[in-house]
Amino acid sequence: MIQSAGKVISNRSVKPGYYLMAVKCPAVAKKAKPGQFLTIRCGNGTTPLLRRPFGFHRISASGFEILYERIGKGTAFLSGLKPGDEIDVLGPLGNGFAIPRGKKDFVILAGGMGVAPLASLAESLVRIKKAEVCAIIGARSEKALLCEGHFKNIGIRTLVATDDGTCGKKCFATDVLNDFLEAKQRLRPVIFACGPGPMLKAAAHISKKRGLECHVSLEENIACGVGACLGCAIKTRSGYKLVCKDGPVFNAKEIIW
Amino acid sequence: MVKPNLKVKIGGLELRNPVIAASGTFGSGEEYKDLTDLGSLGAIVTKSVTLRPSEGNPPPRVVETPSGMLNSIGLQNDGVDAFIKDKMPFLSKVKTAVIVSIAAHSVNDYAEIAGKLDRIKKVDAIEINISCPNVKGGLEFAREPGSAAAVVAKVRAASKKPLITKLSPNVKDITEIAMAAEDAGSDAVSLVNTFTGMAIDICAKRPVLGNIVGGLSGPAIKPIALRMVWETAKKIKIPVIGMGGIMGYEDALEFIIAGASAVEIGTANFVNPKAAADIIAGIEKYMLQEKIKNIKELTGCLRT
Repeated sequence: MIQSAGKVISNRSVKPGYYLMAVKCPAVAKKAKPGQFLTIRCGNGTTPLLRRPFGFHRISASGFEILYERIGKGTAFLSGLKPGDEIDVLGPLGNGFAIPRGKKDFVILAGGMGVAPLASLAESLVRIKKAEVCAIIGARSEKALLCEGHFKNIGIRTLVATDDGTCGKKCFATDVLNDFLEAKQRLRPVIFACGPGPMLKAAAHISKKRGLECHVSLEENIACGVGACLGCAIKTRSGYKLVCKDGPVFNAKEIIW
Repeated sequence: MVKPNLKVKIGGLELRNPVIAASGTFGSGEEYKDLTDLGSLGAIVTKSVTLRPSEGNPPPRVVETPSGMLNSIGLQNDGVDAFIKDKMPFLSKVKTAVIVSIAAHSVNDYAEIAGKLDRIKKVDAIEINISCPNVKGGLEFAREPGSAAAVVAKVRAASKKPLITKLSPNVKDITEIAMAAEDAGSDAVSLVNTFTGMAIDICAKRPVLGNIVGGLSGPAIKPIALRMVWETAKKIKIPVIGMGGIMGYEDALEFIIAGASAVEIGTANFVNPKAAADIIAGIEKYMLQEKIKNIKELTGCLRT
């Protein structure tokens, strides 16, 4: 991990309320892996106070992108940044997605903003020889549906579920997952999921029932981000673990939901 | 111009400068080794250790509040034996003073932990945390002068290390507790620990923290902490280590001018891992500008 100045390259709204920010920050980007995260200090004031965590949306040699929803004071600050502005970046933090060796079949399960860190993972997965990757994206509505085009562009079969049926099937992403696995019983895909707690819990349940490997990226309120404050604890079968240091990616069977 | 002298003494312990990383915000130092020069700090106070392992409170454990944050970690740690085995090897190599924070539910446990640490050479001092608001009974010893004195006296008997008693602001009169700690043999007092507080999720109509209540830290508490440090420093002869919402060197100087011999940096470490190092540099620059040769000239120099 390193604390480094990053330079905003671009920062645009991809849909009302949702932003994609590209940051030049080679020191952090060089070491970053899909599933890891970074924190950004949002201004110099005392509110917002704590650094805000974001998963790496896309990673290149010279920088990274974050995809975020303007939802509070921190993201409101970020959404106002212009190309050329400098930000205080700390990362990469935590452990990324561990891609099991020898596996060829993968399902990416995203709910809401949970899609953000899964894009860089998808880009890694499609580089695996003969890999079959399917992405399932769930969102409240078409207005909150992100990355569908990006997944399709990199050649991934992409299924969509929305709560209100404005795009894809009107159901939960985990319903689509269930149907997909039912239809492809011979496949033993590894599932990578990120999204709201109830979705991850359902994904853990489905993968357990079918004996599939499932990795989930979890979220908790984070203060230090480096494993010092013990603030982001989650309950696992081997006691409390830290989202920032032991995660954010965990094997779903380890988590006590 | 000659480099100003930033050295301060806490009991028998000399620190290269008065800026200390506060307990619970800096792990055991190792977590920050890649992010800041640990050797530049005056000292590191480690996360409180208890006699036996303690699993801590249910999540969520932290939440941001206006200009501050609430935490309810609840003293999660692996116990003093594991601390000595797992954390001390790294800390032994760190080129700064190591102050180990201890917490317990009984006077005897405090003494037993202190006794174990007394044998460890690189433990430069002990901070007696009698003020954790996040465990049942954690504040008991900090609330009354008699119980605070009982802990300090028992730890004093168990250890020859310099002792710093960490006081709670959640009391009627913090100066009374400070005087009791001084009389019982504490070499210094540090204040303040966090203020008890809470936050509520109005949609769920539930407390945000898993423990319902937590401890408030950050800039929000600074003026109150500063007032308490000022009041306490006037009443006791032993050094006061001030803390509470120090974000920059100006805040640190306010505490020092109010009477603190040293300061601890807590929440600011989360915002900027180099906060303590920046504060040291800022104090030094201020002293050069103000032509102050020795930091001791600043302690308690408040004009009223």
